Amino acid sequence: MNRYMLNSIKAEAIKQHKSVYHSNLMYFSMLIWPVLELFSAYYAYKPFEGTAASEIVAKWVGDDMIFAFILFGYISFIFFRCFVQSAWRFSSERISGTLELIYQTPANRLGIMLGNALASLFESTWMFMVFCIGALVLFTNLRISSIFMPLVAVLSLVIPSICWGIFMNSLFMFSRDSGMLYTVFQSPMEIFGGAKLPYPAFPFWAKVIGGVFPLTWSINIVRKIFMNGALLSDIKFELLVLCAICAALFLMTLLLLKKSEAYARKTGNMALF
Amino acid sequence: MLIAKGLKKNYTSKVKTGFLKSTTKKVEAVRGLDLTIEPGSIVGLLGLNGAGKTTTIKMLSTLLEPDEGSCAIDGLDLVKDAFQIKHMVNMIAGGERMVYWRLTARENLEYFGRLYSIPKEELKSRIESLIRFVGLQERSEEAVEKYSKGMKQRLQIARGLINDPKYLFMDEPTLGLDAPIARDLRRFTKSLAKEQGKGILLTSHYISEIEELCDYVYIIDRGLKIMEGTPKEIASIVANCTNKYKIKLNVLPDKLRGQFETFMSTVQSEFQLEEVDGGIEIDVSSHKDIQSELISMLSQQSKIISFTAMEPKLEDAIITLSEVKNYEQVHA
Ligand SMILES: Nc1ncnc2c1ncn2[C@@H]1O[C@H](COP(=O)(O)OP(=O)(O)OP(=O)(O)O)[C@@H](O)[C@H]1O
Ligand SMILES: [Mg+2]
Repeated sequence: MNRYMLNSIKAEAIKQHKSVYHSNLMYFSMLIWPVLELFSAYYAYKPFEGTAASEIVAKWVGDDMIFAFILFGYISFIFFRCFVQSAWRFSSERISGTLELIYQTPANRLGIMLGNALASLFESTWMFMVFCIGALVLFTNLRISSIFMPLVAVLSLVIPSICWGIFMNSLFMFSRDSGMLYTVFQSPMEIFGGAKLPYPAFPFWAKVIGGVFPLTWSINIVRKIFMNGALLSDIKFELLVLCAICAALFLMTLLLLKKSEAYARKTGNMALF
Repeated sequence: MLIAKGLKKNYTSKVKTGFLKSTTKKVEAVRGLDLTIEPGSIVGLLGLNGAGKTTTIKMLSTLLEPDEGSCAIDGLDLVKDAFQIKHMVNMIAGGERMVYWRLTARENLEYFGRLYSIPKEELKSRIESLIRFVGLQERSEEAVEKYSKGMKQRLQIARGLINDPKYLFMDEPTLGLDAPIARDLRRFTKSLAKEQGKGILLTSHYISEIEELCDYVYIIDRGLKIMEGTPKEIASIVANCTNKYKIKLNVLPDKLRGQFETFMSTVQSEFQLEEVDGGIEIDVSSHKDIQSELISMLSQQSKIISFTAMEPKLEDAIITLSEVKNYEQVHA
């Protein structure tokens, strides 16, 4: 990593953090919404108790674990969503005119994307910690095989979500219309990623859609670690797929950054919004 | 020295012709521009809306790639050596955008300074001196959203100087500023060139601003250079090619009227007559200075109540000049 890369990461992470967390209250207020969402997701099951839908879930996770199942699915989902939102925020710099100013400097483009993701990592990790501690207190029937495995869970959230974040960021660099991608990626990720329903219960076509999102695999890993006491050998396959997806996302990011800058220099679209 | 030769830039944009149907439209924004900026000098780029000023500045600041032509900045090539050039140039635009409103002035400058990888200690002292230079020392720890327009603009200048550029491109920097603040800004600009030896390219709609600041001026219209010279030369050409007079006479006898109309058509000038209380008002617009001819002709057979020569306007001059240029092109 060269000097420009490091400085760009640092500059962007600090800037992004400062412009979002301008008050300490933010740290708590940002928890309110996910907590509400979590409960609404859980109570969405309630009316279906005893029906086919809840049986699907019960069949895969066991009756007593439904809330834990939803909780771990949800916090993984929220972990990723932070990155997507920050990419979304970054795309608004097109409007404020600062995007052009960034591209006018010799800053390392990948560094900027990474710095931006790093700022949301801070947000994600904070939420994740609060929720995890809550889960450990709330559920006594969680099975964790060793103290080392939660660390694996955290890593399999952190690395893929950063890759996902920089990929989204670089997509947004392409044009103002990529805002639509937010909708295109966000809802399928929520539905087919298996945050609310067990992935193995999906029909084949839904599995295919879900399978391309790194979130899907991260959720599986997190649940297996916290709920089934999985060891490394139990999640080999998921880890492998996740690594492959991350590598692909990273390469695509590099490509998109190169292409989008060249395209902007041709069309002048960086100033359009 | 910055030497641009034959810069060209076309935009292609999609034009909707129906649902799912569109054609591409080509806009020739800059059509072969030559330009030179010497260190320590202020060069003006003048033109009407859409003339290609911003496009030119974006090409010079590496944000746009020229379709044709070349530009060398201190011997480096604008396209091939873009990375080094980014260290040597910067751009300042008018308006309140282009800074982070939630950050303080200092945080804004730190951010951009880091993007240039300026060493920590150097950046710190540079930010100090820039904040002092633009007079924001008392408010530097406050969020920019609380600043006035003029203060935001001053921060914008500090931001544009953060990499200590040798060449600075200013795109309508006084846009929307009050007269006293605009005056401050002109003072900054002057000292940047004369005391710090920076080469400055300045675009503006205001001829007075250009006259006050610039050592040399280019006038462009629809992407083409139509004139260049010192502000003095430009001002005199402008004055010469648009002459507007407002004349009031007590009477206009038929004989004089006929004589006047023939004269107007021989000098290819336009006029409007209007009867008002106590006489006749004539508005004349001419490409030539015909003040003395008009006075001597009219005063022989009538009484001139008032004669006003209107201040020449740049807009009129540009329109006239481009008409002349088009005429020459067609008849070449
Ligand atoms: N990104 C773009 N895509 C397509 N056309 C563009 C784009 N940017 C500018 N143009 C067109 O290029 C021409 C030159 O625009 P430019 O912004 O350079 O003019 P300007 O001299 O800066 O005008 P103004 O005084 O209004 O700022 C205009 O016709 C404009 O419509
Ligand atoms: Mg412009």
